[in-house]
Amino acid sequence: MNLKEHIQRHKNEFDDQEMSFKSDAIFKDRLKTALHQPKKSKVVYLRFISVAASIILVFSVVFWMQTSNDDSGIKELLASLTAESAGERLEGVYKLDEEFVKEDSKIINALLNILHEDTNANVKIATIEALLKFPSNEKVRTNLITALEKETVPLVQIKLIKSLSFLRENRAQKPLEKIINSKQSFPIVKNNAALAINQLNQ
Amino acid sequence: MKSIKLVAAITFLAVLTVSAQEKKIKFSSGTLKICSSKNFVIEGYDGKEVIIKSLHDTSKVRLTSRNTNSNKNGNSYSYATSGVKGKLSTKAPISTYTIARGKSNNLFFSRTDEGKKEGLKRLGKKQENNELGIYFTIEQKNGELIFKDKEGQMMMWGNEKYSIKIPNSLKLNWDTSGCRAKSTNSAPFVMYTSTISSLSNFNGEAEITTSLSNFKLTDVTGPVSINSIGGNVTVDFDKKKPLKLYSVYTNNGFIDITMPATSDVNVDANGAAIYSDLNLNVISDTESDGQQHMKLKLKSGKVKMKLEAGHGTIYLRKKK
Repeated sequence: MNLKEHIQRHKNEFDDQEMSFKSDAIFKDRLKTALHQPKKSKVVYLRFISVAASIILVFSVVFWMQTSNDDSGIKELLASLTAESAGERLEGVYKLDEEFVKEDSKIINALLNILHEDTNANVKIATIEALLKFPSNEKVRTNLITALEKETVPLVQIKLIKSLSFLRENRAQKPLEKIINSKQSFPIVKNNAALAINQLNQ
Repeated sequence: MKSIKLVAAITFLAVLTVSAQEKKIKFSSGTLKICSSKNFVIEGYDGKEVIIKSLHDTSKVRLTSRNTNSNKNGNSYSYATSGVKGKLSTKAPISTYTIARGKSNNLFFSRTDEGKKEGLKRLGKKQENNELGIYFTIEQKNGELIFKDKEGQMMMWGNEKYSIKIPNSLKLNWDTSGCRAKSTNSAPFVMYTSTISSLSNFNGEAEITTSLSNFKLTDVTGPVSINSIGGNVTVDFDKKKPLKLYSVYTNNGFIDITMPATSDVNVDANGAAIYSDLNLNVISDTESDGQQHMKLKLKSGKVKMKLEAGHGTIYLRKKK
């Protein structure tokens, strides 16, 4: 006797039987788990999103603070370049030279201002050194040439001559000749100028 | 010589009779600007006065030359010493001597008896410094106290030397080429002595500019900036350590620094050669055009030392 025959034979007996309370409870449980599960996972999903969002928020705040710190760092550095104390100005130029590799017109303009205006030879020499980081910048090159035309402090003159020779700046020939022909120039400056002209003509 | 145009000069010889008195100037904030090629021994202290004392033996003979031409075009000039040369002595004071006055082509001589002023004091406010053996001008303006060589004055006396005590609260700006706006060859005369000028025990900021003079700094904590064409720079930290920036540039003098092994410095050195017995961390080591470029560190490298000796050598010594 197979199952089919057995069911057909006892058909009426099956109809008489009622469902037990137990099965009802089990069904309720199953219904609960089946219907509420997706709701629960949705909540978890939302929670996950909110956590992620807050993490992103925290990171972006930190990042923003850092970038704004960088900005204020640059501002502080630029402010130190106009400080009354030569020591502070020097610290500023050395820091710029070490930390900023990226060309920034604000920084370059501040350095060029020192190149033409500063009264301390050390500050000027450090500035020329910092400007040499941007050898292809036309503004830097032309300003180094005009600085050489105007400069009168021998040690700064020597630094400018060496820098322009290093940059292979042919436009420096005229101011170099002027230095060589000037009675005011120190012999050591003239020697450096002559050497630079020789190197430029090679 | 073509370049030497004969310009007028008055030469006079003076015997100085001054005891070792001090000149005190109340000045404790601002800048002390020294525009002089004279020899100074400067020391910092925690006080409120700048105290000047002449260290030369004022009884010795001194010769100065006054230039009557403005010398704006940078011409050099000659000065007359004939007639007095033989009497220039560093021994006993000369009581009678000849003064040569006038232009070089029209000199006249007069005689003075030094003995006659004995026991008397030279009158006149402007003569006060001379009486103290101070032969430079002292001026105070815009928060600056300025010591300057007298215009056209020529020092022939190598022993001229001053001791100056300065408050640590001051900023020192020392230019041995006389703070001329154009410190080029236009200087009417250049006198250099091999005697080292020095600065010691100073906690304030110091800016030093020199062409050929040698400098020695002892226990100067910084910030310090020194530039020189051919002068040697010696820095000694005997009882102190470097605390603030040191920036030294010289074209061909040497830079010699002695500091305690416990100094917290970061040295950026360029020179023909670099020597040291300190336990330095080598951060970078490159060479180009016969120049050594090195970045060195002691401890965490807090204080920056930028040393550029050009054709000169750098010595970094351990304090023993």
